[in-house]
Amino acid sequence: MSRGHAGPSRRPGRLLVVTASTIGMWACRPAPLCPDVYSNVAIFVPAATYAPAAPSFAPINASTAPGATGTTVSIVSNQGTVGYGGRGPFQAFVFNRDEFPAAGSVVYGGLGVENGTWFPFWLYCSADGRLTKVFGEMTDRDVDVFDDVDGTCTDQGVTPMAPVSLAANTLSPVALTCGFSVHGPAPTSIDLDSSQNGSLVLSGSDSIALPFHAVDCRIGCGSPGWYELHTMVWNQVEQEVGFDIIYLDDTGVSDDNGIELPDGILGGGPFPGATWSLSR
Amino acid sequence: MRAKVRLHTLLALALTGVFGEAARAEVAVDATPSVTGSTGLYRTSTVDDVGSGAVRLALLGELARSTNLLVLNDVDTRVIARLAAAADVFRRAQLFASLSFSYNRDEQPIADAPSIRQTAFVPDLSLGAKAVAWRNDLFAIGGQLGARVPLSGPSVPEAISGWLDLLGSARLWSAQRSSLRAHLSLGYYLDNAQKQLAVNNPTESDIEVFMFEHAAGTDRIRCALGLEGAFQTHEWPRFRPFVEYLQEIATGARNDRLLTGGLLIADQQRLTLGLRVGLGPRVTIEAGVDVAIESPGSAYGPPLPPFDLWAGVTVPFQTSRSGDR
Repeated sequence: MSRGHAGPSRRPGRLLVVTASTIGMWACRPAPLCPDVYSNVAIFVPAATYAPAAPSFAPINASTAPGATGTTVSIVSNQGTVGYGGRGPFQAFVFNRDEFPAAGSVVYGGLGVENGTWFPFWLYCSADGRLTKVFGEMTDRDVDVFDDVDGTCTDQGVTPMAPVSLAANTLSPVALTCGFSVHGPAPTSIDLDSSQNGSLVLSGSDSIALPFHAVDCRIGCGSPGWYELHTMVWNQVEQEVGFDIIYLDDTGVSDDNGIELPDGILGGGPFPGATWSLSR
Repeated sequence: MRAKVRLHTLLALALTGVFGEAARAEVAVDATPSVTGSTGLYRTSTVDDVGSGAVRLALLGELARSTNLLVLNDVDTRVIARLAAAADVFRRAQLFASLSFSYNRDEQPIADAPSIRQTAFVPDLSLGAKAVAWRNDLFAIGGQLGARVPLSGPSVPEAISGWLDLLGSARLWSAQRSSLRAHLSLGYYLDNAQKQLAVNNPTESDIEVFMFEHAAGTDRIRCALGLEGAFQTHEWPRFRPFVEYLQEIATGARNDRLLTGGLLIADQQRLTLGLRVGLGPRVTIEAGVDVAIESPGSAYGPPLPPFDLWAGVTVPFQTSRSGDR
């Protein structure tokens, strides 16, 4: 991270700030919050039916224990309701499955939908059929919830997933997270900056990209580490709206594990030539 | 008496009470109010200095300035002025109070952000009492009870916080003109300061800045360990360097509006280094620095600034029971 070209300061106040910053580098403290910045873009999501033509994983049933408060999950054949962070329960469905060795779990990615807000979430399922954790986000706040839960999770004897009908909705406000810079050249251009609306190429068209939350996996998620920008993407030409994960790592910039409505498919891949930097 | 006193000898002397009034009076002569008004180190109350009969009045000032503390790229400045007083009563007890005025300014250099700059002037009053339960010339054990009363905001009764601490002090080493003492404090802090937040639909950074400005966290266990030296070559100046290690472990509910990456960090730790100098028979001046070791997660409390600089002056006023035990 470059701090510019400022030379030695003659002001005692500046010296104090530099001293504080230096000491703070070895003090253990959480990253500062992002400023309260929201996009001025309202994303219109047309009514859609999510029905994957060729499911890539077996559907699951997952639920928290009866009577659970706070974070709740009630998923049958990949759809149902989820609630966390004082929000919901809202309509939700599961669209992705991924192994997460560092957590000793299989992680199922899902999406909750309310008018105004999408709720990407991940269910942590153990090999012995327990639902152990829920990681959840919301597009209108730059926060995440990572709660321990007591529940069940299985893909055994689960009936096939029925199509999910989603009403038209408008996403607004969408939070804008901070602390990064990502830029890449055409034809797969990407331009994302801290607390600003961004853009990237989706389905061959320039699309609006709104990074609303970041997940720092540089330590603790696996080796080598990585950094994630969880981003809403809106292709106004094709009337497609997606939730996408932009991965920043040693190999560069790529995206994966997202979902796009109405098609349900969000093809991931690298952004060749793209570079990135972090500032928090 | 010039020879060093070994620990086992001290224990024997403690049981027989060979050390007399002089040792205790020596401890009390430069006792100064801490941030809450209770005599002690800068943040840690001590118990072996109760009972000299003096009323001590202190003026303390504190400055913290840091970048990137609450919100990305912000510059946060906090200045605190305190008027603290402690009065010994009934030989083994002390009443104390501290009137604090805190000015906080958080600059967020983000164009078009709703909270570009926040400032707040936060007055509050800490008051309480402590007492010695048992002591001899080497050890002292006691406790204290206190409350922090906000003097601004709409929810004053509900926002009163309180604490209960067990206190212990031990004389580790002593010679004619020098000594080394240790202090331990273990207690619980019931923190209601977040009830002062009176903003409609606050954002995460609103809450974070508020918590920092009002030093508002959640209920927590507090423990502190202090070492305090004393030496002098003549009647004055009398030097008293000290070091405090403080740890607070959150036990109360987290603030669900601040669900951020630092959520799992429930404790905070800091180190305080200070030096007091007794000038003449009455005045003590002091200065020091707090250094943050670990900040709590945002949902449990405000981050600790990397450093706090502080300084103060204390003047004792002897009462008719001066030196009485």
